[in-house]
Amino acid sequence: MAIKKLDQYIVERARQGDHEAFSAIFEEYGRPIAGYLYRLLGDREAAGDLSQETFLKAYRGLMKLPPSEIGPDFNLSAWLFTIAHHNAMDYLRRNKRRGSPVVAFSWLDVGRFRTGSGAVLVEERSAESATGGYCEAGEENLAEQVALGDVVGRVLGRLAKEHAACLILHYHQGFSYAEAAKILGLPLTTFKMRLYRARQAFQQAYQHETAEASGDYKAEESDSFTSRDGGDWDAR
Amino acid sequence: MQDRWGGRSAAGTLDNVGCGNERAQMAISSYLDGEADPAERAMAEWHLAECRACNGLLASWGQATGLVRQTAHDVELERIARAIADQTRNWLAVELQPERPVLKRSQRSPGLALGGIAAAFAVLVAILGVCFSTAFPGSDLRSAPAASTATLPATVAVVSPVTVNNLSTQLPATPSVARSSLSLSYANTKAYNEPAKAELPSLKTTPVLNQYSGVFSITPGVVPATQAAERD
Repeated sequence: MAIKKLDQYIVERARQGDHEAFSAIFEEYGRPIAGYLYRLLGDREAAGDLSQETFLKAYRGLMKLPPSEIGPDFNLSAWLFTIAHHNAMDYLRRNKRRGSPVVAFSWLDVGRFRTGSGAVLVEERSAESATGGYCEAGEENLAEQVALGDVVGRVLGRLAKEHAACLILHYHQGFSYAEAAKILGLPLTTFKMRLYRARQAFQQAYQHETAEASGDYKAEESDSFTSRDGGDWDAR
Repeated sequence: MQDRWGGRSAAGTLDNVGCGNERAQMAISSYLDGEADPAERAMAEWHLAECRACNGLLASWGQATGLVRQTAHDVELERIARAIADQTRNWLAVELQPERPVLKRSQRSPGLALGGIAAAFAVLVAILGVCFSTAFPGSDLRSAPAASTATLPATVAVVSPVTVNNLSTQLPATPSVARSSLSLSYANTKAYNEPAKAELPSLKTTPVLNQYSGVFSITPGVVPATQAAERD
């Protein structure tokens, strides 16, 4: 994904300290970066802090980038995600949370949903649904979609972060193999192998998740499952 | 298990899936995403054509990746991402804003410093000017017109160490001295400790101290050449 001319112009202006240009960059990439960090960490507070850190580093880093790097091949999106990913990995190293289960990832814990016989029901209507934002798809579809997102989120939370990052970057953020490998700082072949293992791990974790969901869901069992396997069982 | 592609078993890494040919399955993984290079594509197609287990794997992988793709724009994730982005935007607005006053201060500081330097330089020049005018009173601008009116001889000769001080070169309107070839009148003051008197024979020695304001000094020891000639 080569940088567009407009992006290149905005980057050049941001490099000269133009706040409005940097604001435009943030408006374009702020939400994807926040979504990536939240999906990867499953912690809203941490995702918020790291998002701030990412864009602060980007603001300072843009000015330090040599002009030779701001060419037609410069990928602003990948550059920002690289900063975000490194920040996330540093955060995990600092907090020694690599591979640990991300409890906060599940929306079941924040009281928005309640479970019963494996079904996930919407407890309260959000402000968006009151204004018709969600009602277009219908409440049933919305509930299914949210439930699916919850399950996938929990499954991703059980994976090793390196594997989750591969899946999120490629399937959520739409980066190609080459771009995702560059973001993660890996050779292409290594990335392919890692994604293959991540796919296998996701498959197995999803089977476990659905098996649990088919019976009565108990958070304690889920926690013991992840802690027993250390959350990194796919990398053994 | 090892097949014609030299793949090795995936046992020990994860639960055995498909036929266990890890290399072929990695090629299938890339093939599924449309990211396989020609060699991987050929390997995946060949292997899928003959391995029923990996065909089932392909289907299950496709389903799982479909789920992940489907939740890429999950409404709840979007809502949280938007909230985090809003929080980050507000934080950045505060964090990056204070740089402006810092820039103003940094711009004003050199100006103040330059102003201070200029003021100090001006004071220094003024002090030096006062000192210079005190140390060398002959350089007083008031004597400049007198110097221009003085008709000094073209050549001077050193005769004796004579010091002429407070020698006024401005001629009075009603001169009290007779004009001589040298149109200079002089006055000796006691401020100069017993200076040698310049002997100008044709000049009557009536003091003219109060008549002239101009002050002129001649280099000590130098007397006009005409006076030297008269001495001779």
